[in-house]
Amino acid sequence: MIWRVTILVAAVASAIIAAPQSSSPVVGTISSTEPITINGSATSPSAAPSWPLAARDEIATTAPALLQTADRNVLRFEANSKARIGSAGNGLAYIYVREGGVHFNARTGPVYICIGDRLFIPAKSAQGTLKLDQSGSAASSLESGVFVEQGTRACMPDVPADFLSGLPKAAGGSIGPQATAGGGLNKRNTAITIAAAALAGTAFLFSSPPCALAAGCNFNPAPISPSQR
Amino acid sequence: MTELASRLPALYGLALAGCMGWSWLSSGSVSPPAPQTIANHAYRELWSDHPEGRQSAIEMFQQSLAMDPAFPFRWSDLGDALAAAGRTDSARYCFRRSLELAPNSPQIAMRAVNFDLGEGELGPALQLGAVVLRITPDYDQMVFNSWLRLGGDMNGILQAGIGGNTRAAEAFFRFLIASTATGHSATGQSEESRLFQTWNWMEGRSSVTRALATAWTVWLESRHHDGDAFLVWKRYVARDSGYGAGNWIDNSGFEYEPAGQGFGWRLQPCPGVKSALDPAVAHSGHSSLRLEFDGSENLDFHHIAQSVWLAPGRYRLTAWMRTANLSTDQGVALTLFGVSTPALVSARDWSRVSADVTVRINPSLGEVRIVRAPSWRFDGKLRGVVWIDDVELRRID
Repeated sequence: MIWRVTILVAAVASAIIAAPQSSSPVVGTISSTEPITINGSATSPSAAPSWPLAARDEIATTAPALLQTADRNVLRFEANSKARIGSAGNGLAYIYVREGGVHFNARTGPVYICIGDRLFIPAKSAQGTLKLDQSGSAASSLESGVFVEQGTRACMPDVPADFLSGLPKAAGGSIGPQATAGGGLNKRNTAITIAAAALAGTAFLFSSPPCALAAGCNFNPAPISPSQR
Repeated sequence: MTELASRLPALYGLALAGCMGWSWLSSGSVSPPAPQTIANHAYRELWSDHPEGRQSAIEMFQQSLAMDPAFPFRWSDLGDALAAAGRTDSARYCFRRSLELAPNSPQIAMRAVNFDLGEGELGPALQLGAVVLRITPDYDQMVFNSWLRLGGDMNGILQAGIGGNTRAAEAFFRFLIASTATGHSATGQSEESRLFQTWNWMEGRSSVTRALATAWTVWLESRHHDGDAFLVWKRYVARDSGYGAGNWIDNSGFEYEPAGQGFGWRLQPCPGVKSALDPAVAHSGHSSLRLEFDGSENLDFHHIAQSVWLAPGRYRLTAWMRTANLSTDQGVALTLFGVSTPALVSARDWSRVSADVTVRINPSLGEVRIVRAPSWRFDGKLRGVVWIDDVELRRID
C-alpha cells in the first residue's frame, strides 16, 4: 500500500509537470524556402527550413512564409512582409503586420492580427486575407468563417496589459455570455488538465500493478523506421 | 496466333509508353520519383493550408525515408513534419536518429537545435548549438540569434553554449555588439548588461584578444562609458607599457601603425596633406609621424588626434618636432583642452615643444590634437614637411 501511495504522489507530481506550461517563450514556427530575417539576423533555409519564434520577434520575409502558431493556427505571410510576433495574456498569438499582408487560417481558435493599426480577430475556422494597401490602411477579405473583430478597434505593436479584458469571450477575452472560442493556456484549462491526469493516474494505479514491477512490460516507444511503415 | 505474336512488340511498346506518360504526368519524370522529389512534394503539402496537409506530408516523408533511410536529412524532414503535427516524441526520435547518422553536419544539428528550442528543451539546444559552432562559423549568427531569443539566461548560454570555444566567444561578443545597433533585445535583459556580462565572463577565461578589446573600447566610447573604455584600452590594447601610468599617450613614438580608433592615434584624410609613418626619420625608436603639405591649401588642419582620459591635476604635453621648408607664418603645434604648444615653422632640426595643462573636472575626456591654423597672409598656402615623435603627456603635480 505504501508504494502505491508513493507512486500516486509521483503520478500527481508528474501530471503537474506534464500540464501545459505557459512559460515556454515559443509562440510559433516560421518556414520559408527563402531567407527570413528574425530580429535583424538572416536565417538560411539551407541551414533549416523552420525556425521557432519568440514573443517580440521582428520578422521580415523575402518570399511567402508560413507561420504556424503554438496553438496550430496557420498564417501565410506574403513576400516582403514585415511583422512583429507577440503573445497575448492567454497564450494566443498576436501578430502586428508592419508591411505586406497575411493569409490566415484560424484552425483552432482566434488569432489576433493588428494591421494598419486596426485589430482583426478571425474566429475559429475563419480563413481570409489581410493586406496593407499603399496608404497603409488594411484591406480584409474573408473566404470562410467570421471576424470577431473587424478593424473597429485600434491596436499597437505590443500587446497592451488590458488587451484581453476589452475583448469578447469569442475572442478569448472576458466580455460576453460564454466562451465560444478561445482556448490557449489559462488557469482553468491547466487545472482541468492536472485534475484529469491525476484522476487517470489514480485509476490506473489502483486497477493494475505498476508496469515497472510487471513481467513482460515494455515502455520502449516504437521507433519510426521504414520497416514499420 | 501468329498474328498476335507479331503484334506483341507493338503492344509492349504502347504499354511502356503509357507507363512512362503516367509517370511523367504524376511526377514530372519518366523514372520513379527520387526520395528528394517526394520530399519536395511533402514540403509543399506541409506548408499548404489544407487540413490534411500535415498528415499527407508525414506519409510522403516516411515514403522518402523508406527509400533512403541512411540519409540523415530524410529523418530531419520527417522530424519537422511530426513536430508540426504535434507528435513531439516521434519527432524527437527522428532528430536524434539524424544526429546519429550525421554527427558532424551543421545543418542536421541546426535543425535539431530549432526543434529543441521549439520544445523548450534548452539544455540540448545549447549543446547542439555548441556543436554547430565548433564545426563552422557560417551559422554563428543563426545560432546566437536563436539562443538569445529562446535559449534562456545568459549564464546558460555562456557556460553551456559557448563554453571553451574561444572563436565562438569572440564571435558571440561581436554579435552582441552588432545587435545593439539594430536595437533588438531578445532576452528582455538590457543590451548593455548582456555585453558587460559576456565581457566579464571572457575576461575571467582569459579569452580576450586585442582586436576584441579594441571593438569593446569603441563600443564603450560610443555609449559614453569613457572610464571603462580607457581601462580596457590600457589593459589590452595599449602599445606602450607605461600607458596610463607615466605617460597618457599611447604609441607615443609612432612605432606602430595608428589604431584609428579608441585611445589610439586617429589620422583622418585631409586634402593638401599626406600623413604617414616615416621609417627613415625618427627622434627615437624606428619611426616618426611625417606630415607633408603640398602647398595647395591654406589649411585649417586638425585631422590627427588621440583621446585621453585624465584625472584632475596638472599635466605637461611634450613632443619632438622637426620641420623642413615649412612655408607661411602659421606652423604646426599640439593642443589639449585649448592649450597649445608653440608652433614650429620654416626649417628646424629636432626641437622639443611643450605646454602645461590643468584638468579640473573629475575625470575628463580630452583630445591631444596636431593642428595648424589658417594664415591671414596672401601666401598662406602651406608647403613643407613636419616630423613628430615622442609625444608625451605626464603629470607634473
